[in-house]
Amino acid sequence: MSSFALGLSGVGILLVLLFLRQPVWLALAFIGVVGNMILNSLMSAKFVAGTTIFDVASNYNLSVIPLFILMGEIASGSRMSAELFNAARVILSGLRGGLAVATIVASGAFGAICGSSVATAASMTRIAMPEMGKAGYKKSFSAASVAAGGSLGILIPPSIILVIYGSITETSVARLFAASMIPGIILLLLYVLVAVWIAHRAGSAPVDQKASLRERVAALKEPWQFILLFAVTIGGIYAGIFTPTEAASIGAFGAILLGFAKRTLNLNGLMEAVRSSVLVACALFMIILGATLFSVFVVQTRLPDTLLALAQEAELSVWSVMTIIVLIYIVLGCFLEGIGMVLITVPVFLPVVVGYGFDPIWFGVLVVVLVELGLISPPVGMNLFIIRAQTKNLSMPELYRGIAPFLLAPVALVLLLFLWPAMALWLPEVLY
Amino acid sequence: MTDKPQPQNLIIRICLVISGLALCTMMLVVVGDVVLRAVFNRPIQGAYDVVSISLLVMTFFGIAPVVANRREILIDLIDAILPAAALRALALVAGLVGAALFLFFGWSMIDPAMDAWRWGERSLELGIPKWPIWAVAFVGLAGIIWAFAIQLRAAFRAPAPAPSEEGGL
Repeated sequence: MSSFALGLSGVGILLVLLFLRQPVWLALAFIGVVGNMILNSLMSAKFVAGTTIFDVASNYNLSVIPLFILMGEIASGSRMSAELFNAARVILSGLRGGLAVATIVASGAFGAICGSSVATAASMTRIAMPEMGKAGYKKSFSAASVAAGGSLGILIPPSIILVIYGSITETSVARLFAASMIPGIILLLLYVLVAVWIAHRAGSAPVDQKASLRERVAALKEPWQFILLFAVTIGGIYAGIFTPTEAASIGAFGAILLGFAKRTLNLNGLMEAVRSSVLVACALFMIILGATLFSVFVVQTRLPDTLLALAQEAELSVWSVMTIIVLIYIVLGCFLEGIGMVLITVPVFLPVVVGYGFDPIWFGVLVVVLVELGLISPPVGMNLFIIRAQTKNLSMPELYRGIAPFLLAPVALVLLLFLWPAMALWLPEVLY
Repeated sequence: MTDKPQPQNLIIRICLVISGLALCTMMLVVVGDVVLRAVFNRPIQGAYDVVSISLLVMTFFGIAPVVANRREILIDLIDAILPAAALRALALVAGLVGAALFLFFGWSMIDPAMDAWRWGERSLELGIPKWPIWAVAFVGLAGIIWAFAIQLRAAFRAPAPAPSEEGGL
């Protein structure tokens, strides 16, 4: 069997293992280790595994992952999301569907300190869904607004997926964070447009009571702690004052201090946040370990190089290749969870994409937008399940119907990224 | 936000506490480093090493609670199709293969750990000998193997629950 065929078989078996309910880390590590054994020898696989596990676990650059997760957990547990929502609902009052728009805006803002789509969706479901229910919003519309808004958490920096992408592609996390900011804001605006459009269709959403100018100005001051955290962490990275690890530590520590100062966090809450962060971060580290072993195997099979050579031999245009890659992501996103999808596909596709002249930073942003699409795509969009699990009397088909119009927004953003790559590449060029 | 851990045996709880302490150490050391650098222009000597070692401790001791609580990320598309017995069998396979992989990792770590001891490898900034760090990793690994034993025992009773959160993402 040629190494190319072995590489393709490895990817095929990997997908089979994933669908057979094997943990993502296990499927990746198993293919990585066994593939290396077949391709080289037991000793080679042993050498790679022995050094990889230690190197991944003690990689300073990866320390940013648990620290940003801790910051997000503390922010989730200390009512910051509620304050953001309350401020947004007052500012946007008087608009038809204002609560749904407020949910999307607050989710985007919360994503800027949380870094997690699912945590943002879970948090906003508890806060925004009851309010929209009381105001007479259609349940499918409310749930879809929360799901769509929640997905912004992984695009607007800090984004855990972008940190992981940076670590496996050896691209600068700071540049990735800069690259994802404008697309993140544009996606937020696209979701708002969709929400306003749906709200204007009969029966989806009422007009909320209008707040006075004084109330709106007062509401702007409410989420000051969010603004402070965002300015210090992401602002610090953009200004070159902090490395991502430093920003994450300062952010987590700052969130703890603010939580205690405002009495929205106590010692039990802090311990719970640390416990959750450890479990989430270590589950991710297991996947990163598996993905690193898998990447070594993929590189050794020369699968990406062969795919690139095949595409060039077949004289496929750059657009055909990118269309195929985007379609593969969309299909996989319907069935795979985000991190696994990134770690499986990026080692295979990135060399091809770079070979066709695309920037790896731009591709990172594109991949995250496609992962976002997967988070809200039926049948297994994770955000949909999170909302469904927390909402009574809401069927999955109802939720699928509600989310359908929102799927247009990430699709439109993908098109915009192709037509106008500077949307992602301009800010990193200006800043760094 | 996440499920409460099941009442676990002492080993898993100790692993979780060590991992949590390592995470807090990481945060505090980096904050201290930034503050001292900004205020007194004197960063903490060896912050890089402490963070790297803390991350290693967090990971090696944090994986055991993940495994014992069956919090590994998996895809549950076939849950609706397969009978409970088949799901239990798949969970058992996952537990066995997972344990085998970590045993393999442990075996493969022996040589580089011995090299670290034999050649007196030291950390970059503080010059700490590396072999004790490898030893700590082996202790964490023992906890992981223990956690797989717990997972396998649980898999006999019921299949692993699908994750309610995508690894917090």
